[in-house]
Amino acid sequence: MRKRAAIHFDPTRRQMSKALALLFAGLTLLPKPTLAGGERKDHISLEQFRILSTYLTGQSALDPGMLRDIFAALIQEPWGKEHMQRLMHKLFPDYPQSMRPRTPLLVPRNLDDAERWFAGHILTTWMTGIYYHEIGNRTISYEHALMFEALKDIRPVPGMSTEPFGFWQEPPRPTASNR
Amino acid sequence: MMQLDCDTLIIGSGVAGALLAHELAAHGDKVIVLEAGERVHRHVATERYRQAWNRNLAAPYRQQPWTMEPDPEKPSSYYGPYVGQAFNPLFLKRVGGTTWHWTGITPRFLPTDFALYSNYGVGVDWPIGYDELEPFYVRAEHALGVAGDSEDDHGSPRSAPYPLPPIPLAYSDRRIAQKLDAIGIRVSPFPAARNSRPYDGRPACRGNGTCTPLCPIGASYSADHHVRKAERLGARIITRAVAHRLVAAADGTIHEVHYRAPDRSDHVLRARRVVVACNTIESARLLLLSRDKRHPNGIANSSGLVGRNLMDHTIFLTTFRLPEPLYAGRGPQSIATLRLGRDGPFRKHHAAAKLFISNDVNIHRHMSEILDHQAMWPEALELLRDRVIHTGHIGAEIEQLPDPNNRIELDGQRLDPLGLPLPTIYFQSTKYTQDGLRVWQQRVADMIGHMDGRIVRSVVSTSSHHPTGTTRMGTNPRNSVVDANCRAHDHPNLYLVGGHVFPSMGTANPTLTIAALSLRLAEHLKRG
Repeated sequence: MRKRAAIHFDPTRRQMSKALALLFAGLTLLPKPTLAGGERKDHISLEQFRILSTYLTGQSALDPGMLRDIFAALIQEPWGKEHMQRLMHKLFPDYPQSMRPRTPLLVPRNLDDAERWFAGHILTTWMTGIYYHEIGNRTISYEHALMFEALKDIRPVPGMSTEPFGFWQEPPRPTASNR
Repeated sequence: MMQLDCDTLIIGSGVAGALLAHELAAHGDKVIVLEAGERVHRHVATERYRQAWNRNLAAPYRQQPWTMEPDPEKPSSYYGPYVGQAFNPLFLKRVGGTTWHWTGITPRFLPTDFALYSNYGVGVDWPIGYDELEPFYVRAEHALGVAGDSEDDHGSPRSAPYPLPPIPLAYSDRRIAQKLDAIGIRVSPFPAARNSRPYDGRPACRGNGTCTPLCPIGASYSADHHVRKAERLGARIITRAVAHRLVAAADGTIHEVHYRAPDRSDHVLRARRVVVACNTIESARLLLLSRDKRHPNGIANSSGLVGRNLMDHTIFLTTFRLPEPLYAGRGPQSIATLRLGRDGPFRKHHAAAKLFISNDVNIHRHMSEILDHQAMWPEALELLRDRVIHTGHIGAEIEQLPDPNNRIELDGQRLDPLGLPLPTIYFQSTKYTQDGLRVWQQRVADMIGHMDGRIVRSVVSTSSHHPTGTTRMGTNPRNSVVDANCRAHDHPNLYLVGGHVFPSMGTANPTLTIAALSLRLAEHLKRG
């Protein structure tokens, strides 16, 4: 899996490609994870995926269309349901009784390689809007990618400006919560 | 008498070919334009860009299986293995050419750029001077819709105002300008072929920030605009037509142009005169492909210089972070230039540079760097905002002198999908450029230090995607390919126009000068 390159000239693009190749080379080389301690038979729902996504991204107002599309992409993977169940169980072992997460993401050892890969996969898809896959990367959403959403009070989504000519002369007025 | 298909056959529909076709069609000439690629529909290209996972310079443009152009991710598939340094100028073979993915920056050459040898004892002089091209610069600025400050000539004297008021500096440019003003460095907007108000049927810029690879609304000029105008005046555009051979008669006139269609069928056109207006690489390639018994080194190549003296601007971009918010990345990707480096006695010793503030903040790159570290995941978006808000870029495009060893040749092994030999590049940056690079990189580092900035990285490339040279202009047929009117020394009805006729390249982005040369050629042909 590789990530997109920069949209401007060569040096930046090449350097970025290198960095991304390193990032994603690591991911693709990981063995397909297997479940320790036997497979959980639990149903994995869109709602559970929303909880998982909210936790991973730190965003409570996730675009419903993107949520549905990422979930659909994952559930179609031969390993998708199993991975979602496993990560859900690891992060929210008391669900549905409690939705309080048990495992802070910040502590790397709290997730094993497979779980870390899968959490990164979900997070990367939400952040970039691109579903990276060894047999073909594809865009799930362009404008709802969180990397663009998070900056909407600062700048338009690239290529989708509805601002008037010259808006760039003045500094943006970030929303209170984002200052 | 041989039946002719048209008065003027133009090969290539980029800015040079499009403007020429429009001028000659308006004059009443019967014009045919051959274009290897296809038409681009802006809304389709825009959507393709958004859907692409790899949003590079080529992302909006469909692959054309019958021809090849450099792939940003794998340029060696077109250029082959490098001899010397890696050199990857990108260009597009489409109706409108590479103006689909340019920044739209349109400075003129300086008067000294036309007389580098006379002024500084390096490089070569052009056979024409600034004064001779100046009226055509004016016309080119009106054709492309250049926005600029008419009171500020950037060192290139003007006989007329710009057609459009300047693009205002971004907030980030203004903050940097205020800081650099303290050390005597002035910052101002570049002239740019980007609408600062509706002009010629195109809207004003809305600051989409994707000038490269595509302006989604056409506020930035692209040459398909003049192709359509030419068609309305009767010019005929043949797309998917890969010109691969010019045939010269015994008297030297080019009497046939052969092109190949995607189905590999060959076709022949005859014209009173032929103009090769492809990009720098492909123009030389076509002339070299046209070798025959009488012209074993290719057409127009009695000098042996076709393909040689390949140049480009070496570029560096230094990324830095400032303690204060800059909010770069809002508006056009490139607006501001630093007013130093383009000329001076130092050019006797090292290369000049055109310094710029990049307003292109790559959000995806920042995001990727953050996602690379699990410890950053919980605060990924906060970190992204912080980086985007505080990051700036200053870079420079650095002059390259002509060197006959820097060249393209035809590859004996690698063929394109139509069975035509691909080019191979031989390129080595000169000491003159390398010395300039060191000087200007240090100067930028000093500026960033003055602003209390922290340098994150500084990257260098041998190409700004401004390839020039390869069929250079001159008065002497022994050391040039075309004369001062862009006519091939060897063939009375063959003209070459584009960056490939530049004898030297200065520091200006080449497109406006290409446009001016094309309009000047149009006047010459109208008289003939």
